[in-house]
Amino acid sequence: MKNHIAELRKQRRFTQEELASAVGVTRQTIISLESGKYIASLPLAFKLAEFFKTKIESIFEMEEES
Amino acid sequence: MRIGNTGLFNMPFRKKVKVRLWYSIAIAVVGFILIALTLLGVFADRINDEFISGFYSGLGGGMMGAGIVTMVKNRRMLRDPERFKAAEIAEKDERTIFVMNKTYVATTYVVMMTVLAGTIISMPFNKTVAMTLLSVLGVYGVALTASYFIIKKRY
Repeated sequence: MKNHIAELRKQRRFTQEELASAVGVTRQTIISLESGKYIASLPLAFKLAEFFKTKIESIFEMEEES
Repeated sequence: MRIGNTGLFNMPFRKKVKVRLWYSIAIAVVGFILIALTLLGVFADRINDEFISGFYSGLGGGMMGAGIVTMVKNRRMLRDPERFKAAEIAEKDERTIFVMNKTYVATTYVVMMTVLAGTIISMPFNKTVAMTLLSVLGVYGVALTASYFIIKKRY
């Protein structure tokens, strides 16, 4: 699962701390999400979509399994 | 009765902290009682074993210390909104919960494998130890099966 959280956050000039606080998680979770180590739950994905005012599909992308 | 309906796991964070505050007071009191009983010589007189007396006083000291530290931490949290919010986010953070669940699974596996190895190794030397360890494995097996069926019904 690929995501565009880092790009969207940087485009909108938010810090990881601000994003974390807005969606109710720790900064470490944002770091893990951005690095692709952790996959967000559906409720968190909705919160992120709401925060970035975009669709979930614009944030997350399924990658083809090789 | 469904566990989820008891409110134990779904209660608001402030209430949860208050419940923890009372638990910590209870733990500190039990610790204090254990130390007092040891100092009064109850264990030494009745059991006449210094190791057991030391065990109860050590356990009592540990419980009292842990209870007091948790009590102070929870009281400070309840009085400081900033600290409370940070603690709430940290506790409800889904990655933390995910990491904790993985940790519990890994730890349980390691402990149970150790208990199994202990059972096998201790059997020829000490049957009581071996049977005690085997009982622990049995309880684990029953608890695991029961938990699986209860949780499976919920989801």
